[in-house]
Amino acid sequence: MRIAIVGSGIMGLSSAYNLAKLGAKNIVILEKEYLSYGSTVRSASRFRVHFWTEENSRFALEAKKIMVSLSSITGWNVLVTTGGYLWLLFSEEQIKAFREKNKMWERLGIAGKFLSPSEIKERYPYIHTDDVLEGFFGPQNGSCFHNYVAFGYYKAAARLGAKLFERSPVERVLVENNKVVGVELPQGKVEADVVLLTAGAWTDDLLKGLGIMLPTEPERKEMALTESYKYFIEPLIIDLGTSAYIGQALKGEILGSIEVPVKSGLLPLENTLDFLVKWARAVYKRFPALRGARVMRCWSGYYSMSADSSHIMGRDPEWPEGLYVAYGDSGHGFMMGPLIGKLLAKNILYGEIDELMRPFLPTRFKEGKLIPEKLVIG
Amino acid sequence: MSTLRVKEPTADNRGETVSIDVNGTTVKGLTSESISVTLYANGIKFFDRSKKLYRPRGFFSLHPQARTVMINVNGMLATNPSEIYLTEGLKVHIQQKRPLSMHFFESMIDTSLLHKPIVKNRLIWPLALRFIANSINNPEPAEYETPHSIPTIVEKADLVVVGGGVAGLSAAIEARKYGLETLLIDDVELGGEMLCDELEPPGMSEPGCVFARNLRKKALELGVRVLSKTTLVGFFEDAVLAFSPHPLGSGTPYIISAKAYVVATGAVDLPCIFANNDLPGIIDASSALRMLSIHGVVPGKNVAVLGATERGLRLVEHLKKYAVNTIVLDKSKNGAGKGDIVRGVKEIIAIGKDKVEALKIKRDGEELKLNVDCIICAASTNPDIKISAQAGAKITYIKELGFVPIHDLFMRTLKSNLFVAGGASGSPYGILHVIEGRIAGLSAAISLNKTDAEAERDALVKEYRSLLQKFGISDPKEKMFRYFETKVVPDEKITEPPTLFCSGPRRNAFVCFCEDIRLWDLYRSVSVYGFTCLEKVKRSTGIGTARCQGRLCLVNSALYIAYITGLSPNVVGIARQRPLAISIPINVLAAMGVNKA
Repeated sequence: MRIAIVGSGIMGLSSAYNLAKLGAKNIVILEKEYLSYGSTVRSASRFRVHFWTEENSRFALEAKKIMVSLSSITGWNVLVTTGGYLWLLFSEEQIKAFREKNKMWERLGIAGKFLSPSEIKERYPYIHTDDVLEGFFGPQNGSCFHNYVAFGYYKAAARLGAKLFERSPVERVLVENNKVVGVELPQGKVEADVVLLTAGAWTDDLLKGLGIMLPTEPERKEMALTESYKYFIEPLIIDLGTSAYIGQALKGEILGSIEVPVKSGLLPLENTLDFLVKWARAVYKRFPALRGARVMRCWSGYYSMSADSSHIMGRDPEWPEGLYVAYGDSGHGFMMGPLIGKLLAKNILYGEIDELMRPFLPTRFKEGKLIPEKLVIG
Repeated sequence: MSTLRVKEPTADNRGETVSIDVNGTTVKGLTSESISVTLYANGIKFFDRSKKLYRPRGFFSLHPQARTVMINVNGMLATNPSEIYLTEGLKVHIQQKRPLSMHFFESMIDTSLLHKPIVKNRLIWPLALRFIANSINNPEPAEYETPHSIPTIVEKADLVVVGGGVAGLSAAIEARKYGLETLLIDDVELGGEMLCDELEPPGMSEPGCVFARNLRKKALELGVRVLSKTTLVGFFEDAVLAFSPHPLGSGTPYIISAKAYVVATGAVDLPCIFANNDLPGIIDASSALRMLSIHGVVPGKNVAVLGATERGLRLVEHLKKYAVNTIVLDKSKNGAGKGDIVRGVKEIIAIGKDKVEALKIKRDGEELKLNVDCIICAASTNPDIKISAQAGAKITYIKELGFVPIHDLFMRTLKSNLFVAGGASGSPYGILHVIEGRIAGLSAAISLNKTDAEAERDALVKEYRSLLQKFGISDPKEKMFRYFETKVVPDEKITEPPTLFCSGPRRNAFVCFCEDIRLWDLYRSVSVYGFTCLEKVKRSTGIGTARCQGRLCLVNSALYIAYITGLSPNVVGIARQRPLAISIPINVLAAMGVNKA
């Protein structure tokens, strides 16, 4: 079986690794720029298990298990830490909703902890808590180094024989007799029996070329990073009042983002001052200790947003034979990626649909079985 | 304490003599000097310890964007000593001791550890990681309150010239002649490096400093508006931001709105790469010249200059005027230039405990040892592409010019209404900077339909071409003018990078001073992991991601990777340049009202 994977982000690389591990030969990964150019290396490099829907939480829980053992699997130390996620809640509705969800999380064995403002102050003295009603702390969540996750997967897949071709932009998927036969590049054709589209925000265009419409669209998100400071912010802190979040990398840089309304679509990967100022204002208010921290750099990347903010993986039986996708991750593709690749590999090779994967099939949109995920950060 | 002051400073505003406190000792300096210069003049070269390996560090360059070393001023750890000017009673604290634990755990914070799962144990690893994170020599964020509202000034102009060297001044003057509202943004001192040149630059008949002063005067007389000590920070999608840092914290943000931009940000002296090249007392040629001419401070008593380049030899001439013993070290076996030049140098090893004390040189079958107290890197420069690349110019590598924004004879880049001139376009000589600036200013006026003086421009271009001929850089420049037309990226092979004075991938030859990244780290990223594109090397080593934003390391890295892989530097590429050019405190950004102009 010849397998062409389009895109070398975490989805494509973990799929390639898992396919190769299950014995698939002839795997090529086609990347339009360079290894992991798209969203993986632009991500905030965090993972969490707390999601609004049970399907996503269960999925993320399994994904986390792979993530924390990735160093042993790939041979690259992905620097896993579990500093937790802290949501700052500002209204009774938010508190009620989180308490409701915590019951579900409890059932899954991932109960979080509700913290009063004084408890927050005690644990994290750098947070301004006067207007915070309560905090929800998920200690199971954490961070790992996104670059090494991607590079580690790539190296592991390459060791097993997968081949990466950079600067090879796939222009369209070739279909004959309702069966994929390969992909077309400016350099020529790549023949394949299976085409797996893991091109993140760029997947929409490739699907559209086949006349397949899924309710997804790219949304540009911006991030900012400060200079390095002493490591003191362990959790990722999400301010649900302003929708800003911050976290600190082990090297010491404090990074974060805030939601700013933007048009969807593949906007140029540039930054706006509007975003930077809004984020700075949110940080100024919430983290007085960071007022003197200096913002060093900002960048942007795409969330591939799906209609229900949950990822899409697998195939629709009505599609041309051999066509698979993994995208539409709505900002949590990095944390789900390790498991997506694992399940997808089994799906492609053995036709097996894992119970964890079933809810995320692309058929859910026409069947009306949406997974309305509300806990999207950033 | 020995002083390196040899004459009265020529800074236009000499300032007053003030005393500051350095680790309990009183040190005298002038209010026209930054902390870096005062400390250096008093023989204090060691400012802080490096981030991961706790090596002693001083400044490499005085340029405000070369933020490779921070210092503790008035208790604020993260202060750029080259950006803060003296005031009476400043307290500087230098952390001289290395934490004892570092002697045992140095290998643990070695960046190589991060690549290897040497600690697979899931119980021990989190502890080790925590230890590593806490061991990094990072400061705490400065704590200060600023007035909650900082006025954001909106500056509108027809043309904004970035950089106030002779190229920028000439562009501004030319544009002003045709009636353009012109705003000049400069981050150091109006006049640029030529202001420090006490000799006659090639092709000119008066000392550079006289010429630069006259040009400055003329620009001001013609009504060019100037924002000095201000850095253009970034081209955002919705605004262009400039920032003028104030002493100790805060600063003034400016929103810039213009119809055209001339980028004349000059060139960057690349650090030379050799063993222990991070020791305090190793500085770049532009800082050495600036200290000498503007502040009257010699870089040392016995100075080694790396690179028998035009730039290096001119610096030696300057130093000789002040009875400094100099020796020039060069890689090539033969070449022009007279005086004390040691040629055929293969490898250099700097020696010293917390500053340069001596130098070991290896060349064909012999080893020399020299006692020096300062090493000056003058082997190679590269255009400062931070701003032009961010603004949308396309960057290419041409061997003789470096990584340079593609431009044509009219100094247009591939982005409309963006022009380059001077060192930022790869030209080495002041006289070329002047004419390039004039062409860029005139081109801007023509493209904004303020004049149709194309005949004048053609005359300038003709003169420019003959000057390029005269100074022997016609070929590479003409090559680039062709790329402007064809838009095809050239394939350039390089031989050994001019800055490399090191025979192997040494673990004590530093490429990045901010993050302690060594030649060895780069080598491993290329040879073990097989990464040949700079973006990937950057992501696997962290090169170019720290405080100086790749100003000093990216070009050296790209050339080194090209050298060891045999690829064209255009294939290796230069990493994407992102805003901001210098970092801005959160309190300043938070206080800004974004008035989109």
